[in-house]
Amino acid sequence: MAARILVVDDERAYSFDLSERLRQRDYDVQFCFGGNEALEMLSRRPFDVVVLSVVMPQMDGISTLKEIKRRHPLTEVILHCKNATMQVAARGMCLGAFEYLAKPCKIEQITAKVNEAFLYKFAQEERIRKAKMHLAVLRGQPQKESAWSFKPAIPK
Amino acid sequence: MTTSAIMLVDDEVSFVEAISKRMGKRGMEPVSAFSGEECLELLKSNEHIDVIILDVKMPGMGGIETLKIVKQKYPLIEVIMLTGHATMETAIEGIKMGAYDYLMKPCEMDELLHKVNSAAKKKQTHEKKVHDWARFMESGSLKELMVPIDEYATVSENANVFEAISALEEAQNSFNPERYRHRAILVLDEEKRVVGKLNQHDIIQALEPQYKKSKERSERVLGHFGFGQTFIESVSSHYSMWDNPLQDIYKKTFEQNVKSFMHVPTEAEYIEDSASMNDAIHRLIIGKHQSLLVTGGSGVVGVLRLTDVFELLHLRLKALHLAAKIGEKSDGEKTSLEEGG
Repeated sequence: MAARILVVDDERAYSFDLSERLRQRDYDVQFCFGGNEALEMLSRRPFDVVVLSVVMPQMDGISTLKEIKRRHPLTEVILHCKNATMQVAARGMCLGAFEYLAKPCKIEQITAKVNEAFLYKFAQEERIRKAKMHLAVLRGQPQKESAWSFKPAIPK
Repeated sequence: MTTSAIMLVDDEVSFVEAISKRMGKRGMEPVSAFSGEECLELLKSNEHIDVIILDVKMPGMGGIETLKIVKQKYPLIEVIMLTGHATMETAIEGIKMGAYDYLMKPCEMDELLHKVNSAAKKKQTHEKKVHDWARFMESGSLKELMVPIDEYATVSENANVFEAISALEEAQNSFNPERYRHRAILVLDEEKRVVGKLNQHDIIQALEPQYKKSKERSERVLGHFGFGQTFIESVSSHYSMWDNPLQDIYKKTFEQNVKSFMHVPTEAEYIEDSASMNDAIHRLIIGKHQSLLVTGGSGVVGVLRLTDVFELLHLRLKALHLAAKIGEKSDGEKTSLEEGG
């Protein structure tokens, strides 16, 4: 299963462009243009990694990050913004953002961080799956290895 | 790997004691708490904790509730849920909410240490990232920290109060939402040079009815904080400053122009963009200024705000705090804010 990525950026052209480039690299990508919209999309379907612009009108990146982490703790967030906002980046990292990427940067840098974040999240989901299996064993109803268990697909 | 700081939280005293004794033998010194409330209380003075081993079922504040608050207040601390057979589902719920893993009671020491170590490693890796960012920022200069002049709202010195209010409002709404909102606007002369600053205080003061009459007196009041509240109240009731209908105040916004009440920066409020951060901080302190005007080749190029300097200072201290933990000596030796002076 490929990483499900949500790109959030109020610069519409950038958001669209980045999503397209990620899609070409076989990721499952959606995009939107604001914090509120992002939260709504996250409530509708799961995403593994959110690439989030820090500078946005209305709901800024930091508030969005806080809210994403509160509602969907397993979803990893990569902050993405211009160089002048280093302080915000550091604050975001303290709040649990996975990583920070300066804008603009090479697509390879983005995919490398996305992959890293995806594997992190996958490891956490594995722990949950194992815990569930453990629980089933305890209850005397051991399950076969679930057919739904998947391997993370990292695009080449 | 550096030793990790651990907190054990369980209402079962014998369990906590047994585990901490066994950890003690391995050179670890876990902090013990016997309830969720105590855990939160102890965290206030033990922010360096890497991993919390948290029992799911406790009287009072339960494990899940404690986990929620810990994750909200200290997002980087990793939590391992401690569970019995009966509470396994709650533990899984906990992992879904951001706990790192779970441990089943009675637990094998090896398994416990393995899980604690990998959780601690995760936390320390993340902290290192934060630390690297903070250090990266340290190399920043005044130029990077200041707000560039073109991001600031400006008005002409001949503008009236109403225009100034609108400009300030616009500045607060539109610019650079990731930073603190602007509380001031710059006043330009006809040649587009910065000649003054205006903040909310200046504007409200200018609107005060009978402002001119009270100006001398209020300056004295504000200038010397020794005057009591009663005295200030008597001054304002004597002039019944804000009793006039709003209509009058509205009219006044068109009569007065910005030049007559703007704050004209003194020489000490200008600073060269090549100056050191230390110098800038010193000037902010000495003059009790909220901001300094940064000058470059072509006049004023930006504004260095106290809030930004404060945040930088805070982040650097945090970096030092982390460095002390990570065990990097190089950073701790520097007491100056300047990278290499």
